[in-house]
Amino acid sequence: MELRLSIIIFVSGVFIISSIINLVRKEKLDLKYALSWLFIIISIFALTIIPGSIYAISALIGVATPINAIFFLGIVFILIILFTLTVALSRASANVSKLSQEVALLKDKVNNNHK
Amino acid sequence: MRKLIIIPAFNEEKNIAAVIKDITTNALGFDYVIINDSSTDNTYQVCKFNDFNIITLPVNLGIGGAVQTGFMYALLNNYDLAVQFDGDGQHSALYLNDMVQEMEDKNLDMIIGSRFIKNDGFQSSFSRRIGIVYFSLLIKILTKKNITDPTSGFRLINKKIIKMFCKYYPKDYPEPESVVSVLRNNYKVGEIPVIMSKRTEGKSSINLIRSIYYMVKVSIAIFIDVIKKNTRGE
Repeated sequence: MELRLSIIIFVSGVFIISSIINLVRKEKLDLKYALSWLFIIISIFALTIIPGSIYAISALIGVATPINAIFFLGIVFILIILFTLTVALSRASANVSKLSQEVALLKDKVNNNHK
Repeated sequence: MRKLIIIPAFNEEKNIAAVIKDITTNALGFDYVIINDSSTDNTYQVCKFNDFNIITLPVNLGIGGAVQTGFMYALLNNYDLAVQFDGDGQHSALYLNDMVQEMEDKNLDMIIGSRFIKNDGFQSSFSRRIGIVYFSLLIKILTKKNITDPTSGFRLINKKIIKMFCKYYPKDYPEPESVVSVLRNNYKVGEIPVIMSKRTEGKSSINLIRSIYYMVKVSIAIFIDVIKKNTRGE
């Protein structure tokens, strides 16, 4: 990979990792969800740093140009994260409706007790 | 002094009655509260039938959220000490007064019941022991303190730590990470030897496949905790 591209990837990777860790440190991002992002960025790091690794991977999955292999892997990772997010979101909205119902029933109970 | 036992329970219909019996016979002077983490079995019915003090969470929060509910209950009801006590019969209430005694004698903020001081009783599986040794070493390197049983869920804390844990408590696998945050805030942690029994019913929440995820996640959590600002609850 070209040196200029490697440097750009490396610098932006460092920036993204430190902002993710900072968000976890401030307790604004769950480590559970941060882990997959960290994993992806570290894999990209590995591809940039280890020479020839990206060629080996493109040969392995049968892609002619390395940059297409990166696009392909990137899209696969994004799909995985999006999918887990959809699952997490469904769980969260189920929890919210359950909580709302619980609160509504409790409210009714409290009001009846005051009558 | 008001002392509370917090019992997180998820699907413990077979164990919970024995646990409460152990507490009411062996831990005089303690109140208890069961935090039912949306069990899908008859834990709630068993507790209601026996007239146990139980709080049921409307959604499943996991061990961290359940125990934190107990800490909030302790703060709200003005307890001075709180002890986490598993709902599966692993812990013995016989040690509770020793833990309180140790805390008062040595003026500590947190007491952990450790399986690895005297190495008696059920010593956990081989793979878990590797994890425990690893976390002990990691904590030793990062905080310079010896904690022989960082994954023990049998822990007594005073009001300062209760306040701190009410503000933030890890969601899953909370034990090693929370010990580090207690140490990082310069609170004093001690350990006393205890014997734990093998779980009588039900499965442990950590199986072999999840071990690696657990080790990686908790390690990163510990590293991040070390670079957090002090979160002393004062």
